[in-house]
Amino acid sequence: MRGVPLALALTIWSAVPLAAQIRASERARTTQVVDGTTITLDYARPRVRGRPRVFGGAVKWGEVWTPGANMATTLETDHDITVDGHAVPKGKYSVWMVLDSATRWTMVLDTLWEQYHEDRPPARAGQIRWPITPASAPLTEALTWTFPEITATGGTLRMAWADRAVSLPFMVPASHPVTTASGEAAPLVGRYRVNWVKPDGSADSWNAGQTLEVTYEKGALLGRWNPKLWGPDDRTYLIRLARSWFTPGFIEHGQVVDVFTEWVLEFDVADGRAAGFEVRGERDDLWARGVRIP
Amino acid sequence: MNSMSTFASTRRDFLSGCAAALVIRLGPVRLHARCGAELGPRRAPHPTPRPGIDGSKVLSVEKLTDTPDAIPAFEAARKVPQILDGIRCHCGCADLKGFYSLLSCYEGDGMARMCVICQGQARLAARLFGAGRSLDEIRAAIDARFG
Repeated sequence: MRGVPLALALTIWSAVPLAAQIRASERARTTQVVDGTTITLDYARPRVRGRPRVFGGAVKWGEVWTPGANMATTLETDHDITVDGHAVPKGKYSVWMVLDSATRWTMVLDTLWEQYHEDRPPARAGQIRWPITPASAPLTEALTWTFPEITATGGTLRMAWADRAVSLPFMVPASHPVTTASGEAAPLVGRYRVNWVKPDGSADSWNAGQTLEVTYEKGALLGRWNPKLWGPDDRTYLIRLARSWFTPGFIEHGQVVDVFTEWVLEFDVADGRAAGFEVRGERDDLWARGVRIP
Repeated sequence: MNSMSTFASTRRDFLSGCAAALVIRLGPVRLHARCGAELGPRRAPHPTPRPGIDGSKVLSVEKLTDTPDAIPAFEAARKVPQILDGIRCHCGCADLKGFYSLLSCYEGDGMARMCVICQGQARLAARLFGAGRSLDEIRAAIDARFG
């Protein structure tokens, strides 16, 4: 009879879903999208828990260590990127660091991504490896991966735990290159009067008298709006979507900070010269017409 | 001036310094739901228009009283059903069960009522068809604009 309650207890215990488990290193995930590229870190978060020395103690020098716990930390990207200047093709990787010494570590991305933390991979073909330098940092109790900096073209991925941090700059491919072939750009160069229209097609007094001056500089089409549309710069890149179709790329400190694909400038090119353009919204509704100023 | 006046959060930060008039003007483009946007854009081939397809299942204007802004897109769908049936919708709804083409977004529950991407694709397709463009040219334009 004593076996019945024991079996019942075991049944109940085994029925507790994994999601309800308390773990010394809880699982976490951080995802960042930059210009259409999604980068995800999936990892467990070990805590310092009062240990006097983590690096060089709990994690020994010379050890191949996953910056996480339990199942190895993974990095997944849905486009080819560079991390710290090293090409990382689209895919999913287990993430490891070889703690060569207190000041010199080696970053390792391994295409075998479903690994236990003790399955420390030896150096092998197909891995992406490069030296990294850990920095001293204020105490981070639970290991943390973050994206502390984001730019139009990339950002920084950072791992921090205990008294060390590693920062890894990354770059993503541009979804909308700013360059346009000169043969396609030349017919568009010039000044245009911009007339905004209301949804019913009547003239809108908003920004009455606005002009757009299109120039071609260093392989890119630029539009100078007077008065400016918004932001600190009166210029936008005109970023090519299709032949004679462009979308504004807003500029801050010389860099594209926002590609406004909700608008498309459709230039009307005939006999090697644009007579004007239409600005159309996402619904293909007409927002404005531009007419070339002779 | 276009109606509606708020932004999705990503745009709100960027435009925080804008003149109020421009904020109001740009508002609409960020607010509309994208019916299948969580599925992401798809690069799968465009479907082949089904022989004999017509616009008889496209929702009528009477069923669009709650979404009057969508009426022009449904009118476009009724005008060129054979073109819409050859276009794969870029909002992600093409992966939903029972969806064959962009035309499917205008039938049944008419999910295009709430999707600015579906609406833009249909209106662009009808406009380009009216300008004498072929289905392949229209597909290329839609891929460039919405893909």
